[in-house]
Amino acid sequence: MMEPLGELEHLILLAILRIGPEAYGVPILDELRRHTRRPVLRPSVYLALRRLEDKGLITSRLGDPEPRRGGRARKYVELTAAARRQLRESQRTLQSLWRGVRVDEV
Amino acid sequence: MRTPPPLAIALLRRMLPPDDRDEVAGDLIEEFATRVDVGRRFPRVWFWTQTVLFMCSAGFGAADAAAPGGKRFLMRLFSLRPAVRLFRQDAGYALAFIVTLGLGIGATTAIFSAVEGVLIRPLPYPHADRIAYVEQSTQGHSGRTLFSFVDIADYRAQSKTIEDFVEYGDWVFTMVGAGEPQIVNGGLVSANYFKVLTIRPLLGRTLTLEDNERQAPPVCVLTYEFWRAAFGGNRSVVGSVIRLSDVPTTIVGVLEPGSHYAGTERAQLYASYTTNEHYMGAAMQNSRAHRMTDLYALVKPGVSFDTARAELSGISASLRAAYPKAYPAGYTVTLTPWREVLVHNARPTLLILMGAVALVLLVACANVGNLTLARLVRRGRELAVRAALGASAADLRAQLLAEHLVLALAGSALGLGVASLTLKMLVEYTARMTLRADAVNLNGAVLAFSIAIGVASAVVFAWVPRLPAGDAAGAALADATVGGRTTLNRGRRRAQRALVALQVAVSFVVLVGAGLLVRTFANLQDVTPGFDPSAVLEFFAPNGSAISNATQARAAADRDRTVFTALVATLRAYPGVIAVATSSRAPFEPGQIFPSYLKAERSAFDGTTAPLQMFSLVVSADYFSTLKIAVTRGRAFGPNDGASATPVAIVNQAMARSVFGDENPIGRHIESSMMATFNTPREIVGVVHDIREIGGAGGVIPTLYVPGTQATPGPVVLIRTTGDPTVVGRDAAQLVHTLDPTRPITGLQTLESAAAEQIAPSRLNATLFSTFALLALSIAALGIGAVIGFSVTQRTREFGIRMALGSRPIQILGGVLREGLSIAGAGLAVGAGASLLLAGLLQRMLFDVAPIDPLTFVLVGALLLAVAAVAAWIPARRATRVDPSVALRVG
Repeated sequence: MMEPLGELEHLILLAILRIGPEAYGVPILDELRRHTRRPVLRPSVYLALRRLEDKGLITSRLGDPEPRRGGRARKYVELTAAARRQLRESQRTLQSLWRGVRVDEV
Repeated sequence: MRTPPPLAIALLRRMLPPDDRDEVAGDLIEEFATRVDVGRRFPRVWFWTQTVLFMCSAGFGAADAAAPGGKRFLMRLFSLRPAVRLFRQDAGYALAFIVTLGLGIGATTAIFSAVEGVLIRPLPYPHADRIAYVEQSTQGHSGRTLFSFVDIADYRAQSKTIEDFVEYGDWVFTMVGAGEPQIVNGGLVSANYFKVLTIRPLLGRTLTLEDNERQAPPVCVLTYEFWRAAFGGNRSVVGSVIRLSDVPTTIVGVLEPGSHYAGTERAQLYASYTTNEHYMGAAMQNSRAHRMTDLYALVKPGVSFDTARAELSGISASLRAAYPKAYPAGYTVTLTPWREVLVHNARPTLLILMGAVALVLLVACANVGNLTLARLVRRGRELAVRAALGASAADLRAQLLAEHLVLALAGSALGLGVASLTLKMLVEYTARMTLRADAVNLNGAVLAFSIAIGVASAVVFAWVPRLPAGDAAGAALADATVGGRTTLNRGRRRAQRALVALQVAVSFVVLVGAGLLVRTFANLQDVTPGFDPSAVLEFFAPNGSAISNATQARAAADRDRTVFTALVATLRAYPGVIAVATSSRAPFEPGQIFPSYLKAERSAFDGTTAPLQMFSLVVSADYFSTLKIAVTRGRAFGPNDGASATPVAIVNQAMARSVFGDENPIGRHIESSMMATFNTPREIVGVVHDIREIGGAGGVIPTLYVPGTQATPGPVVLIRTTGDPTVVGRDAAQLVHTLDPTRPITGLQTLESAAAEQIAPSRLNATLFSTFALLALSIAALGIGAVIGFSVTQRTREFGIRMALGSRPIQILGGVLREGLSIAGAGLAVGAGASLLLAGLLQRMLFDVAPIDPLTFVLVGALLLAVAAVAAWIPARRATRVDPSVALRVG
């Protein structure tokens, strides 16, 4: 069963995919900022992460407390099999829709 | 700033759900550290912005409903969500609240920054509270009398309450050897100056006791600011030699950045006595009556100023008894806390301004209070429903407080922004009244002040209105739901009107102040100085030589005569130049008026009577024709008044009157102790028209003119031109440099701009007050408009019925206007009464206008009525357009 995926959630899943096993808040925000042209609001990203976890699309684990983080641990996230399935599906759909058309630059 | 702000972290911890707080805070702290590492600017501002984003965010900012009461209250306060929601629902109210309060806070904060810096903050010296300024005063002499070294030696030897005395001499040097020759303000000091004020060197050293020795080489210490400005902060200047008024002087140190408040001008450098031959001369060192140094005293710990004052008075009395000749009648000594002396001139003005902005803030708060009342009426239903559903009064208060706290703090932020924009102007303004102006800035105290006003107003706005609660809630709910329209009970209605009347009354007071100051400025502008300042250029070209004995004085005078003769001849040949003159004093320059003993033939003045407050000017023969000063009797100076001819003088009418009364002064002889040539009787050859030497408010001062051929001419050069005088100015500096490369040139400006500069403080007073008054007036106008508008909305149904029964629109219009004007009228009456009481406070700032000036009062009253009429007319017109059928159906 596939739950509908918000755009920000979609982007976050892709960011996690690109970062790999070391994905947590800071690199995810960096990755999003690198690839999008509009401002990414931090609170919405954390809320989206929460939703993704509720939907069973990511799992999280805590790292070790770090002095650089004021003694707090990183919360690493990983894509679940369901997420990978969903991403593959959306990629297929998008690529198929894009085939043979282009958008004229304004 | 290597660590993230702890307060922000604490807020995050409070705000975020337990599951999220470590992750979010950890990520923020990590990113903060990265930003610091890579040198991104303002990392703490970034951290705060992120924190606020979380506080505004719907998913995080929501208060935890399960939390216990106290904590829930706190979380409500810290959550920005209610405010964000309010802004979405009622942006007009929020904006009006923020802007009105912000402007009020801005004006108040700006003036408070000056009050805090000048009047509240202690001087930045460890023993500042023990430092006093000591001065002597003589009967009949309005200015302060300084001390002679001989005076001080006696006080030092006899006083037991004073730990140390500090001598300070203002001295203007010409400095040659660092770029162009320039004028510098110096302080002549000895080692104890640095010791008592604990002023430390950044480079090199300060002065030592050895520097005071007769044979010590001349040395000086630069202030940090002057070192940066004139030497570009070059560290190798220590040990180098500059020429201070012709004396080769070694720079031995640069001071730490700091404030320099001694004397009358801000010191740029401090020089040892040996830089100044006058200081080392016999008169300065040995004559008891040669009073040229300021005196500061460090009172011993635990000794009160009163005790010290009494002791010094005792010493003064015994000195008077021992040396009656050196202390003329009425000599006294006083001791005043240093800061008092420093800020004495600024205090009344700053306090009056503070009062004015407090009134503006009062108007702003009254208006915001009105907005809040009106909004509570609109929200009555919502509040009643919540109360009926079980929200406690505390819950409702917390909600109101949370909303208003954010609005008020936004107002504070806006206010700080407004204040920071006016800061530069304010510092310049304050600098005209006190050296302490450098302490005027937006610091923690000012920040706390503006936030405190914001928080206080939020608390008032949240607590004052009556809220529906408990049993009353049901009734309120019933009230609010009947007919589905909002009504204003009698009490609130009266409160609204009172608040608007208050705004009008306070605006009246501020407007009267503005009116009086504008009239003062206009009066000062209208004063005719007695000469024609248009199209005249002036500049100073003082010589750079040190004069300590007659030979040097003659040499310097000769050099001046050569330079100024050549300068005048060359300038006169310039195209467009009509006349050129030299003088020892620039017109409009504030300058101290020195008392001078006079001897004059057949008059009350014989050189021993009380001194006369007067000016002595050395002027060239063309001075009177260049400035177009009329000769009323006798003649002007001419080519025959050479150095070896009969010594001559010209007096102004005021001098002639005070010395000779009604008798003809021409042909009489006069001499003044102020001239270098005292004891040379001068024959009076002419009387000239009175001029206002120190500008409009200064009045006319008895003046004695001596020809430049018979004294030292210059250093002021005055050039009258046909067209734009500044054209000549461009070449003047070059010309002076060619004639004498060691001569600095300063103060190049037109006499008209000198005149404008002279009345600048009164222009600024008028501008500041007018700005405040305009602010108060606009807010009050909005207040009237809002209240009448609200009343019109409430009475729509009534108007509809009246129109249906045949009332004409003009009757409706008249009724509404009358309502507005009656409120304004009540405000006017109160305002006029308050102004009668308060206007007297402005007395000191006024010129040629009485504090209770009928014209000002009438004009202000008329203006307020007109504004009130317009403000009421706009909603009143709406009332006349009520369509009876629509009003009756909707109502």
